[in-house]
Amino acid sequence: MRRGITFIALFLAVLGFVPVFAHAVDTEAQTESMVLLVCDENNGQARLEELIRACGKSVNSVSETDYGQEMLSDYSYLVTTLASAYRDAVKADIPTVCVGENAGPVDGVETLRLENASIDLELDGHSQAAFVQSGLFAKDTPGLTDTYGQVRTIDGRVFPFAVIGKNAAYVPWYQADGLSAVMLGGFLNAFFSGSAAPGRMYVLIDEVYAFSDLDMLTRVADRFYDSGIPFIVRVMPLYDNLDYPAFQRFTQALLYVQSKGGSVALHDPFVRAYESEREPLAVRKARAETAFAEAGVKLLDMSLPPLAIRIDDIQGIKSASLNFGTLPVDTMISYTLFETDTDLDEAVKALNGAWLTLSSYKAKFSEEDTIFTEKKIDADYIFRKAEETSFKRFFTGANQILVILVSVCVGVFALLLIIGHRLYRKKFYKK
Amino acid sequence: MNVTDVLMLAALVCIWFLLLVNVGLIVGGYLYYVESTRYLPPKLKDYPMVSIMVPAHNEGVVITQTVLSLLNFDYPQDRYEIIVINDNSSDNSAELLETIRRKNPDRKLQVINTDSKVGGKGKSNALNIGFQMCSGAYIVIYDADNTPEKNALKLLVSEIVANPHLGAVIGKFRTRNKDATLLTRFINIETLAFQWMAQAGRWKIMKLCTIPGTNFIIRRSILEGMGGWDINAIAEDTEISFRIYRMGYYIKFLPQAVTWEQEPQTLKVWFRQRTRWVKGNIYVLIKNMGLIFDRRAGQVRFDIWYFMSTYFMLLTALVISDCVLLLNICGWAHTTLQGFSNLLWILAIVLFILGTFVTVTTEKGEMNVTNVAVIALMYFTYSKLWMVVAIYGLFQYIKDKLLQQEVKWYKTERFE
Repeated sequence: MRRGITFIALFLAVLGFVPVFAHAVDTEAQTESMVLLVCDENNGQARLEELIRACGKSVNSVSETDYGQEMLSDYSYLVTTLASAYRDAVKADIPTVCVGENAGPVDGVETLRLENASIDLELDGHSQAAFVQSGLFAKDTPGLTDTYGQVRTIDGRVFPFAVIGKNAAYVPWYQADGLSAVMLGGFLNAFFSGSAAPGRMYVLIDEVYAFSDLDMLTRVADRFYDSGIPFIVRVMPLYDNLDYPAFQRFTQALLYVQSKGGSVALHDPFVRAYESEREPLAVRKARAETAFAEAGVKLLDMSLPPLAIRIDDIQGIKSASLNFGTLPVDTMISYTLFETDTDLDEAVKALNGAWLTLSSYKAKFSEEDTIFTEKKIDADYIFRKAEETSFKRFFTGANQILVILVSVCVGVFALLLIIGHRLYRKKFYKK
Repeated sequence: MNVTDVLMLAALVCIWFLLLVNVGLIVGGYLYYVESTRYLPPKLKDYPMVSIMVPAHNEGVVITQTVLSLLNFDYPQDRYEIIVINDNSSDNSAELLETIRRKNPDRKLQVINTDSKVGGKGKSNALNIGFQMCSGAYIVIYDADNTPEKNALKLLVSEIVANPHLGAVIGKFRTRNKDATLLTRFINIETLAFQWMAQAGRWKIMKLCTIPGTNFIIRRSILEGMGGWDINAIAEDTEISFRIYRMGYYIKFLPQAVTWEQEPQTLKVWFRQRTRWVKGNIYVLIKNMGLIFDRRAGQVRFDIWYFMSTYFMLLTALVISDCVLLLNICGWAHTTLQGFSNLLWILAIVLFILGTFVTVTTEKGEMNVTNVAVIALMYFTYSKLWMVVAIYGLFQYIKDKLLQQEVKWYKTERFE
């Protein structure tokens, strides 16, 4: 019964948001719209990028010092930690989200500083305690267009987490982890989309590569499938040796994953400095995608990935009801491939125990099921982990001694040959 | 750590230990070579009577040249006799020997023609027959394919006469047909390496030598004391060496006394000859194995240990390591031993090639690049063939013992 009430409450809350953000909606341009992020790297630029991408928006970042007013014309939105950028955006009439106290003051928003305050963050039945050493919070005043989420102090005062002022949205305080980050993501999502639709939650097995433990991967697929947990396997791209049995075994495992309800996506490549001199990345990536496609693996687009969070973060967020439900922005609970069955068991237990509403990533693209048919692959090329060697110290020590000893012997023989050569000539070829 | 690891570890320890022992012997042998270039043999005041014995079984192809070279020794003709034991030959050896005898009526040349009743039972038996006819205080043995150098006899005699502690003196043998085939090139290097490493090295370091079966002199009193040759021993030379040392005498290597002999030119002949050696040496080893724990045996214990290491330890170690390597490649076994670095193994091969080359540079015409290449080739071919022979010989020995078969003395086939 309590789950039913929560569902209705969530539904109403979502409905309540729709008209509020209607002004920001531009459905024609939504897919094309780009966000400009003006933020320094040491000011949480990477995390803000992740949050914006999780909202389905492409983002370009620029540091506060590199920012120039002329940049604004190329973008549909601005997210900034710099006050001057906000002022420019107002002039250019670009929807703006100011993040952090340095981005303000924002017109029409009154703020109050809290110091050494214990607070509760609250949003749609989810809450989490936090501590603020020093932070600026917006007051809920009549001049605001709308508010989002709540910050409740222990003395009962309530502040909105995010507000929409006269000409911009403002999130004066946030933390990079936990519910705070989720709330910022949810706010951005609502701001960009014009609606406060709940986000979807996925489970991700990240950074799987051809020489990962593929047996474990198939066991994960079986366990998740049996437990009704849809999941994504994000694989590291491979550019070479795509005809090797190792790659064939890899694709076989991925086909099996797909047949067990798993989705497969390609991880962004890690680009190393020297690689820029080699074949263009786009060419290599296309080759990898073609090889996976030819093997029957359906790679799903994840160029704008959901917000990656850990199960610990989820467990740190209180839910008003037993059903945790989902969060206001697309999230993915991220794991690396489990090393042991115990780790897998624990993960399944944690996911099931959290009463999450998990979605299938592939449902965004197609509902088509994959049927797996095993293909025989040359056993000669089975990858085997290097075994622990025995007598390591003995052989290392003996090797060093023998190398010296044998080198000395070789030297002695060489000396004998030099001396012997003179003797030889004197004995056998003297005139 | 599994069984393969234990076996492999033991094999590696054996291989490396013996490799280093042989390095010591090579250095010892080379020092002896340097000494020998300055060595002046003692002068003979009197020429003692010497009996030269040549056991021959179907040696028609080579016997004439051998006997003529024996008649040509730089030694008073009346102070040495030649006894050829024509042992149950079915070829024309008897006629050839008779012709030589007729042409040299004033020389002390005896030919003993045996039939299948008394003869044909191997070299030891033939030598025992000949020994009964010997009148010399010293007995010299030559194989029927030998061409000794003119001064060889005098050198051997002068050495043994000058030193009463010497029970026997052995000369050096060289390969007469070394350029005939690749195999004879291998054998040439093998014989030189054996003599300058095992013989000269052991003599220099341990005062030990093994009689090689030809080109050696031995005191008559010793042979009488030991009751002649052991007719069960097909490696009579090794067997007699142990007995000489047990009697308190030494055997000295005298490289100045040279004989040239014909070596097998085909693999089949080589294989038969070497199988006989292996079987013979195993017989001698087993017969004398008890001495290894006998303090009174003195330095002979090193010899027994050295032969045992070569024929049993090293062989087993090489077979094990090669088998493990093969099984590893096939994926049927695997070892977790870390093993040695490739650098060390490469150095070991370089050591083998250099060490062997050092031993062959003691001889005229052998210090050349071709021999370096031949030695390198030997490492990968001839050395492996020796393993096959050693295993086969061991197998044959066990088979003979189990089936109680009579030991056959395969005569080495000669070439024109």
